[in-house]
Amino acid sequence: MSSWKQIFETYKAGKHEPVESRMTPGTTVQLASPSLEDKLEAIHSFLGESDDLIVRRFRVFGEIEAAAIFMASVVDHILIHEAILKPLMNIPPQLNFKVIDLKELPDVLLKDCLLVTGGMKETEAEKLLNSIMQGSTVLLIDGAPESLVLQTRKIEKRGIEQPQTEQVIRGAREGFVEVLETNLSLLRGRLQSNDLRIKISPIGRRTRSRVAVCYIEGIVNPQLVDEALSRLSKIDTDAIIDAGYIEQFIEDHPMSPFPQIQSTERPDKTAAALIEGRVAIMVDNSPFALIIPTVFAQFYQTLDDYTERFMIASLIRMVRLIALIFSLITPALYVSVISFNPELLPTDFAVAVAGGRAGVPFPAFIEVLIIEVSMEVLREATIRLPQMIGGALSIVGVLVIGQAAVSAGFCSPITVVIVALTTIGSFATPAYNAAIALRMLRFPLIFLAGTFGLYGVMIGLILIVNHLLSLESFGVPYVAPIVPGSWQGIKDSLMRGPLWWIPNRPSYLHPVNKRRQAKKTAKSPMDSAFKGPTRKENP
Amino acid sequence: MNRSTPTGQITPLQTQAIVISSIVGIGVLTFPTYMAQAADSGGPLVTLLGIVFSCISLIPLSLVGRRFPKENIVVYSGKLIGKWPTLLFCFTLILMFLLVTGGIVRETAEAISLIVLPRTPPEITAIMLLSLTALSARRNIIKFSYIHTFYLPFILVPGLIILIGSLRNADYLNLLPFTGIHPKNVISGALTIMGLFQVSFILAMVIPHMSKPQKALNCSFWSIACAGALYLFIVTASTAVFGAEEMKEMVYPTLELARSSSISVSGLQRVDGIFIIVWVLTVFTTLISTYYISLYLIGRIFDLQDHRMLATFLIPFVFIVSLIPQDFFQLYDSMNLISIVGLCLTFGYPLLLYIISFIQKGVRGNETTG
Repeated sequence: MSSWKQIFETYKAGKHEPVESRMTPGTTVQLASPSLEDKLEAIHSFLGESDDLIVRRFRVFGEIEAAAIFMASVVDHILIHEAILKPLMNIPPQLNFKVIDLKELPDVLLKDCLLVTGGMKETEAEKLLNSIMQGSTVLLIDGAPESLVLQTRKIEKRGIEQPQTEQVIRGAREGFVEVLETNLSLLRGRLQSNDLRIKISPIGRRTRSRVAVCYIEGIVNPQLVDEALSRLSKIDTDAIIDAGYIEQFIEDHPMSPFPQIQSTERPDKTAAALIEGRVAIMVDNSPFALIIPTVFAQFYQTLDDYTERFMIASLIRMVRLIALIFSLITPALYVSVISFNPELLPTDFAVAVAGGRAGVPFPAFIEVLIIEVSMEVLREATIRLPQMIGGALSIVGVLVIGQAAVSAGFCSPITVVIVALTTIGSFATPAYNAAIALRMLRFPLIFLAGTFGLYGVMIGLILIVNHLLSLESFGVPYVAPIVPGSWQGIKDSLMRGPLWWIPNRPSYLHPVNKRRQAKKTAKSPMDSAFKGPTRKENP
Repeated sequence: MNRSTPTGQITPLQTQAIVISSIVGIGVLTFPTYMAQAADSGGPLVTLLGIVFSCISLIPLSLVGRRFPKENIVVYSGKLIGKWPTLLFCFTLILMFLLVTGGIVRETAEAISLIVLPRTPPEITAIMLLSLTALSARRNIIKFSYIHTFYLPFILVPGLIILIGSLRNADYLNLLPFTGIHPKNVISGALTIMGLFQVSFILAMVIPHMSKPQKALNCSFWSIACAGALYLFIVTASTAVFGAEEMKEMVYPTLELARSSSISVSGLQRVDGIFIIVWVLTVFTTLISTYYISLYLIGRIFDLQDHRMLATFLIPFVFIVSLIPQDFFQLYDSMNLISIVGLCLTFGYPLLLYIISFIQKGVRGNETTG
């Protein structure tokens, strides 16, 4: 190992050019040559500057010079030891006393000797280098033109935990992690169907992040897969760090505040979406799956809705929708009623409001704005704090500051109530990104309310709703199934009908296979519902 | 997945929503006064007559649209009566609907500044309404139909609740005699109603994009019936509550009706604030329809890909139009004049087209059989 001084000297002496790839025709030839020394030299010229490159030289069966090359940081060392080095150094009994041609050696090694699950022959220089970077071990053999690429990747990962952002009362406790293979196994474990298709390919010139597109053949609309693949294929960037990067490249309306692609940490939610005829996109190193197409109704639905009784679930769903609307319009309505139309309030209440506002130095509009902004600051401040401190801070912020502000005559108590209602309302929405869009849109609404009263609020609301109506996610109208209306869809958007009552997949997705249940499935619950429980007499 | 305007996607229900929410508009605020002036307590009857007339006046449009289900009005009119007469008719229609748009904007701005924002200049209110319309009218006709479908329940349901709430003050003796005491201007009253209903001309724009154009006639009947029922309810309720003589003196009888309405469970002292909200919505849906007719016709005449730029550039023109009338009375007089002229166009033009297409088809039919 060299000292920092040496490292500094070599770095200073080296050339630093802004190039995408250092591959030159010369090195490609070198890598294709049968001589081991040539190949090693070529690989060193590419990867030698990284100190975690390991070149392990040994003799195959004690005779032929060879080298195993891998990146120490991304491989399973025990696997390399047990499955590659050990079998290669001891000749297996079935090969004893056999004469093996040097050209056939890679084949023989793959078939008779090596114990790894993934292995293939490779001659292309670029693929060899990329596979080393991805955690494969490359086996170079003196005299053989072909090299072997052996699957030894191992990345450190955390255990599967309950998703922090989407907790459920009743439902699976597993969430996606950062490793694509684990995520795919969570998904395949739920969808044991031979129609589940998973297409994997890297995106990102530098990160080469593997992106997986999952869908169920025979359910999904082929045009949708077509569109998704075509949009993915158009991404040409150097880094995909998270699924959120992909989302921004493929969404329909980048200038809209509303999310048009749902992201979820839950494998069960992803599986349910695939069954409905949607497409899921997953990215290595991101615990989020992107679900396309997305309609607005998805943002106030949770898995709990489907595991609990349908009446309760329908009610809760409506509560969430109301909370969402509340978080958007309550402060604006308050400002416009207080400053322009106080006659709308019942007289007693109007007197109480006026009493509370006595001594407040600002107009209602400024007052609400100040409190709303400080509430946003408080939310942003607590969101990144450790949980213990966060709890304490929010108590200080909400209770103490709120109470003190009122008694200091800084704002009226009713304003604090309104702002608190708004904030709580927006946290009742399961999807953080959709809630935040509406939370932010209430500021322009407060401005409109402060300048034009109810008329301004109405203009603002019409603008927002028109924008929502004009959005599309992969060709599906954003407000579907409300507009364009479909009775079958409303059964599972505003309300949550009993599962046996929703026999079809959502029609706005145009699935190839429309029905999800046989007709007779609904018969027995229907009979029990309308004719009383039916019981077969025991013979 | 296709982002260009798809054809044949507007369902009959959406068509009805478009026509209903286009018809229910600015007029609901003032028309009971005109009805009272036309035939005092016979107002509801005059309204009914106007509704029947409007229903009949939509027939030629639906029939001729049904005959050319895949073509827009500019194309088939060009085939039937030639290029230049079509251009003449279309430009008159465009001008008329732009004038109507300007008039509605002015009326709304005046009403807003009279009722809710007394200290805001009406021009500012008008500019806001116009920018809202311009932004919303940029979309293609499918999105246009979504807008109407979405807002329809928000127009009808609160409107009906407010009306029902006002009925507790009703004195049904006010409605008698049904024929009115001095029915002087029955025809002109019915014409006023027809004038309010002429935004239903939007049907001509919708038919080529319908999934089932043969249902156009059916749709037009139902939507006129539905909107007509609302109008009839409003005029009956306001006549019953106020009496015809009192109503003649009012500027906004429907607003007064909403003020007198009280719904105990709403927790609000007065519901006229809600009424103004609903009313802004109805004005918006009417405004976007009248403006869209102009944009659509210009777009088809010049064969434009989309009318986004047009929607923005025509706004100053509409704004200037809205500034022309000196006062309220001039505004209402000119609006009446425009609507009478408009009636001749929106009824006469499709009728002409239908007659000619009928004759042509007859001739052609004879040729093929003979």
